[in-house]
Amino acid sequence: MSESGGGKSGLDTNLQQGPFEFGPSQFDLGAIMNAVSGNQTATTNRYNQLGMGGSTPELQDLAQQQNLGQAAIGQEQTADVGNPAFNPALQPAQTNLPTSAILGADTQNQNALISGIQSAGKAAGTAAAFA
Amino acid sequence: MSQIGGATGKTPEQTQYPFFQSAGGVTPQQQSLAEYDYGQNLTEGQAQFEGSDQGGGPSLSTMATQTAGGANIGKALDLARMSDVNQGAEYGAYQNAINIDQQNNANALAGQEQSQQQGTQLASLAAKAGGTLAAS
Repeated sequence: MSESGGGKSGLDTNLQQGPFEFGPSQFDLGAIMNAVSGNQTATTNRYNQLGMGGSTPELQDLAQQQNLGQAAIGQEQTADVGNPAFNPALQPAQTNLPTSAILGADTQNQNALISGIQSAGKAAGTAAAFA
Repeated sequence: MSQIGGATGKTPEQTQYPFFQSAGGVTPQQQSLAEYDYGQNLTEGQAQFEGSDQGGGPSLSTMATQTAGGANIGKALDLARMSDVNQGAEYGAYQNAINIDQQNNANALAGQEQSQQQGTQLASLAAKAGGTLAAS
């Protein structure tokens, strides 16, 4: 996991954290805006039918639809911002090879190399002794 | 980029998995369910004004219009909730896939390391044998 969107020392220097998403998902926003738009059209049509289009009380009804939409968007924003599926900043940054595996392989390699050097050194010593 | 040091200079690299990203969405079945609930709410809501002088039922009236408006917002929120649950499940599946892939990669790496160790041991034996021959 990186810290504050930057990197972390050690093996995972290239780990990048995801962007922080503040808004609701595109689907949620689309569904809400679609409802608000439809409501405004239906309300406008109704008042036009009654011959009251454009007068102040009816405009308040229209504004209320917009307010409802804003409230719904805020509600979904609160839900989505805490959901890692929509907010990559909450997802752990992961590599294809876990750091523990890399370190384990390093240790194994070093042990094998040391063992090989020791064996070669012994053999060279034996050869020198009989030369 | 991390590299493995050691005997043969083997250098597998760590690469980062992309983050899960989704615009959200629902299945056709969930969409149908939302439409059904919408219809139920609309019928129930408009029935409250049936027979009143304010107008009710499916006929176009101020109260019917307002009731439909509430049902529309309700449907949008229902769809949003279903979408959120869906994407949460998909994100969980994505994390599981990452874990499985990491395990497979770690297992493959362990296998490669074992082969390298065997090669190093063979080289050691060859060096020993060479030393013994030179001594005799």
